[in-house]
Amino acid sequence: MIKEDDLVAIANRIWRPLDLLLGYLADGLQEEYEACIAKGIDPAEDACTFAGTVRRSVYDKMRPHLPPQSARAPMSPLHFDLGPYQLKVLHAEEGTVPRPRTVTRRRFYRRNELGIMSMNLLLDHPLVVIEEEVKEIEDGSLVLVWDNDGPELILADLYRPPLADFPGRSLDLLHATAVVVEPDFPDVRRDDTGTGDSRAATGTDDAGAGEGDTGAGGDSAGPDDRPGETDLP
Amino acid sequence: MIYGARVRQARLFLGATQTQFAGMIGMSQAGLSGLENETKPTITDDSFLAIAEHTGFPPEFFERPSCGLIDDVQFRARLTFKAVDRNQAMSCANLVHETYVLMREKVEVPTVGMRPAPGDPRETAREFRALLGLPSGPVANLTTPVERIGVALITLPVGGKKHDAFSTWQPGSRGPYPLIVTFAGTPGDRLRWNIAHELGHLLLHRGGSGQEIEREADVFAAELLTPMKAMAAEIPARPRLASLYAMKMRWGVSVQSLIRRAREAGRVTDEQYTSLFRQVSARGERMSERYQVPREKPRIYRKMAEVLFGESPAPGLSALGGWTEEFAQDVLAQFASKSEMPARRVWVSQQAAHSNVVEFRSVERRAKRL
Repeated sequence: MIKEDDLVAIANRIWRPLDLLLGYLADGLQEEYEACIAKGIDPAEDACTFAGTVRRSVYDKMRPHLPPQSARAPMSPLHFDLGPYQLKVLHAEEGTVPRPRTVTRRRFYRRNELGIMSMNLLLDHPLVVIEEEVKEIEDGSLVLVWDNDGPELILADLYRPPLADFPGRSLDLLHATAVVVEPDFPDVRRDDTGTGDSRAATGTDDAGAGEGDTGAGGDSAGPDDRPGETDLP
Repeated sequence: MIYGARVRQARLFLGATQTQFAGMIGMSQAGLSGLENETKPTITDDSFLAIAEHTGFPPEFFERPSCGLIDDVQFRARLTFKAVDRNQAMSCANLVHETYVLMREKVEVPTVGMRPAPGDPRETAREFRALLGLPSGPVANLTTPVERIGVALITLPVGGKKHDAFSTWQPGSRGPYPLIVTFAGTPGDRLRWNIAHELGHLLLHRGGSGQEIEREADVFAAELLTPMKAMAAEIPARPRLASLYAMKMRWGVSVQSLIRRAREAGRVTDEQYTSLFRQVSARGERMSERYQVPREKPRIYRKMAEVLFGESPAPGLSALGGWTEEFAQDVLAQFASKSEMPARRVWVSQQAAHSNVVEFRSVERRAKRL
């Protein structure tokens, strides 16, 4: 069972697929928008169909990275199995999570419920039947809601339903994002002191001592097998 | 004047036997053997040019002594590994490591921050995780933190289908440094495993060989990449293969290693364990699994070359090693450029103090919320 967890922690835990997804979403949006314009089609005229083409584009880009259970027909909803989490990617309705018009979606939204409706998604939907049984969840449902303004991705919110002791909330992936790059080894720089590994470089002393020394077998030859080279830092 | 050892090195890199190579350059096998074993043999100009032509190395390569030779180590290799493959790999390793040693003479590199610590592999792995500053969850990138503690990571531009990796402590004037050599073409998950396995050898063992030390290095690698505490919390009871593929994406390890962890965590019976492996075999994925984990590239070797030779270091590196520029390009391609430094998006609830944040999203929200 998944313990309650902070949404930021969840997002960072599944950063790899989320990162890919956001990039592909932005790219797919741009490409499909340009394709529509090139064909003389206004994407805004049928936003639902346009969202579907973007979805297909994203799916095509994600396919090489997907585990088998995420493989679906090209026009299927974007639904990813991310270990303990199930993630659905949905185009926003009125800037927020779409209403649960289908049984499947209702079921998905309710995966996390503990006797109450989750995410406040269903409260205004009259068709929802609240199940009596209270279950502890085995999996966690996540919903990534996106929206666009023309070719630009303007909304990417990750929703996590409430649990018993954890309030439901959403995380704004576009705003709360930082790209962290490993520093480029600032300590690797020219050594003008002349204290480099010159003995090894000459190939006459240390390096030579190692040649033909087959006493240290195995994958790893230990440092202590060489005379005079036992002082590790 | 040429060096016989260089002729041997170039021949082995070519993957030719003495008889084969002697035939190529118009010498007898005995003549070639003598040439290779003499320190500074005399040779006719025609033979010299023939050697250079057939090996593809410039003449000046043969006119300088070799240095920084790696000790004779046993490869962690597939069963199909032949002597000729081993010699070729070792020759290539020596070629590249020689330039590493020469550059290390002129460039400061991270201080070695690890030392052999024979002991329980699991405990050593946990301590090593702490040393690297790794989070409790998946290791997003193993290569960079390992390089930061002074491990020399070298990836060779030769295929990894036959070879896995090897490691050794190399002597140096600042003290010994750990060296791990890997090969191009190794799948990303296997590459990470190989590096972790070799780290286990470097920390736990002082040479030697045998099944027991291999097992210990595997135990170390498993605990380093997939800590049992996290596995016990995450692997479901009686997992399906599909669940393990999903975990593979997150943890950057092979499904097969996850199956082993599932058994160690008590999530599968022996029967289920065998069944899962049968399923992997039935898919033909014992040697190469689907859904590739991205390969991690080491950085420091290329960075050293950039420090010495500028942003396009291939010409300088080829001059340093006595190589062709094409070979220098092949070697450099195995290492990350500055723009290929590992990057990942993090989601922050507040403006967290990441010192290495290079970009904060500051897009004005224009959502059509009601």
